[in-house]
Amino acid sequence: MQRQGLYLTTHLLQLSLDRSKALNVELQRLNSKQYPPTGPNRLIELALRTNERVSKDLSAMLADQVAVEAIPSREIEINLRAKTRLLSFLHLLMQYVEGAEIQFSPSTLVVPLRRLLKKHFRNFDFIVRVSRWYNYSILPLIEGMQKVFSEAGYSSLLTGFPSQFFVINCPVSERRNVPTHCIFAHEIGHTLYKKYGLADTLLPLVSVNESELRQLITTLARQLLETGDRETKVTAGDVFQEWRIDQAVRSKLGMITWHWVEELAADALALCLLGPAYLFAFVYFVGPFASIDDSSDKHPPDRMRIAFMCDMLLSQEDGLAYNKVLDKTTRDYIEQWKAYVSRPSPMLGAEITPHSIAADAIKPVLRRIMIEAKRITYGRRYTPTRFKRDVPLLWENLANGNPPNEIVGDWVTGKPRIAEAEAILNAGWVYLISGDDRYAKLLGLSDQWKVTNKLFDLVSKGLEYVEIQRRWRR
Amino acid sequence: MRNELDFAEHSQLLGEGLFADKVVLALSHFSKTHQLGEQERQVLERGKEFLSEVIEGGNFAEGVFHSARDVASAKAFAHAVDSVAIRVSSKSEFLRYIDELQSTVKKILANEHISDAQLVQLDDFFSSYGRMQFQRSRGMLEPV
Repeated sequence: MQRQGLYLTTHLLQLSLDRSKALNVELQRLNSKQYPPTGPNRLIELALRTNERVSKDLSAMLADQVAVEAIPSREIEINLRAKTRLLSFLHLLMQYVEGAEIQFSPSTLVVPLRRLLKKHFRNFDFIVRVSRWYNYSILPLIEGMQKVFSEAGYSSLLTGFPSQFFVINCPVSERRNVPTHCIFAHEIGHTLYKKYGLADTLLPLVSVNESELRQLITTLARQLLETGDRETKVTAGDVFQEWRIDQAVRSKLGMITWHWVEELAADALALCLLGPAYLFAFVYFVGPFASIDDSSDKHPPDRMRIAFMCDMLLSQEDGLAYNKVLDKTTRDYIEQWKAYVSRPSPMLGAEITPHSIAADAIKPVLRRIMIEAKRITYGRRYTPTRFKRDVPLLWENLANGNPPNEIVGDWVTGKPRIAEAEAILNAGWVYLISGDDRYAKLLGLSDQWKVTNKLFDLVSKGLEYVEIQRRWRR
Repeated sequence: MRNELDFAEHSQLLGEGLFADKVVLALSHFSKTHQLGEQERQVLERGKEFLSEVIEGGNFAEGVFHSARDVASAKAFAHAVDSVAIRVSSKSEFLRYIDELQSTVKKILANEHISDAQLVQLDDFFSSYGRMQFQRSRGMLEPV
């Protein structure tokens, strides 16, 4: 039998309800998996609650006889859109749960990371996941979730949800290489940058060379007016659109300096949180890709970042003054990197580009970034004094094939002391850089990759044992 | 490090699209009843604030953003420019147009008379702005 009359509205609502039910099946599947506590389950539960509410509201719309018997009105269309867009947003959120299952999670990291975040945030939670992207990243989800939930009319569902929620991504192939995870300190740096509003302090110091900028705008305007441009919708020969080019270039430069200052500040904060271990992990991770002069609108070139970090680590005046506590080999290693990245960059050649203008514009901010990073981590910073006290002793543990979880014979108490995570990670890197071969000989291995892997495992064990010891003590 | 999806940007665009939809719904309610409920009033107040942000963004002439507000207003301006269906040959002409829209919102909020053409112009702008934001947010999910 064929349907009679107008039923399109009912049909559309029913289709949306079907999508919600399909999503529910998927959410139940995700919920049945095992994750490390507590972030992934909290996000899934929120998605389940939201989906249930949307489903209920769609059913209520279906029950409205007057509305469903007409062609879909603009109001129905818009109301429906808010709900279906929210459903697709829930789908998107669930991608952050994938790769967070207990069998993939770099679990050694979860507890120290929680402790590090606890120093700066209350009422937070996070997910640590692995992905196929060869990148470390941290995503603060809450702001985006609040925006979408509230505009869709479902903000009340976020009541009771943590006020900070992060997704921490790690490349799947690096998940066992715990010392490389020091890069997370940079990602935490991003969250601190935002929390303490450093942009307001730092960005007024950015100084753009107006004559270079004008020159760039003139050149780009000439090029764009010849060819047209999709992004700015400027059509060829349309001289009236020159104002849009001026605006677009200024805005682009504003965004570049905005991002670059934040990136360098996140590096500075990472050094404050972890000490040299962050620089070592950074060059270990990015070095092989030889992309030292690659820059993007969001990231300054690694050459600039490494130079800045070496400077901050070794500088006495505004930096962290690690030069006083590092052994000769480690100090030489940093000095070599410094010399390497100090060579002139081809990026800063004769051609004026938005990136070359940005690189010059942020120079006056660099010292202030160091000062501000030290200020906001004051009292919670990993210091050269603690480095000097613990790292050489833990280094010996590694050389002898022992996990670096304990300082035997603390010089203050004379008793064994549980090592700090920061010291363990630094000891691992310093041992790797030192080229000491006692551990390799102990293992009877000559393959450097195997020795490095074993060393990283030992560092990982050190971190695990520390957690067991802490729990045991409690 | 780099993010696989710019989640913040995506959710911001999606949220802006939903916000524009709410303005359109409020205008639709007003055109039928010539009255504003509390909810519609709140949405139009935000619409007015958004148009102020666009005007602020249009006055940006530096190349350095000093605050999150600067970034938001520059984006609001750029996205608003794309949402205008008519041809605008200069920035001042565009800002005059936004100013007209803002004055229409103010009149609605003050219960003053506005013409049908003014209401249509306002509705067109927010419909187009919402559509553009949805398109941009969807574009971020599509493979390139």
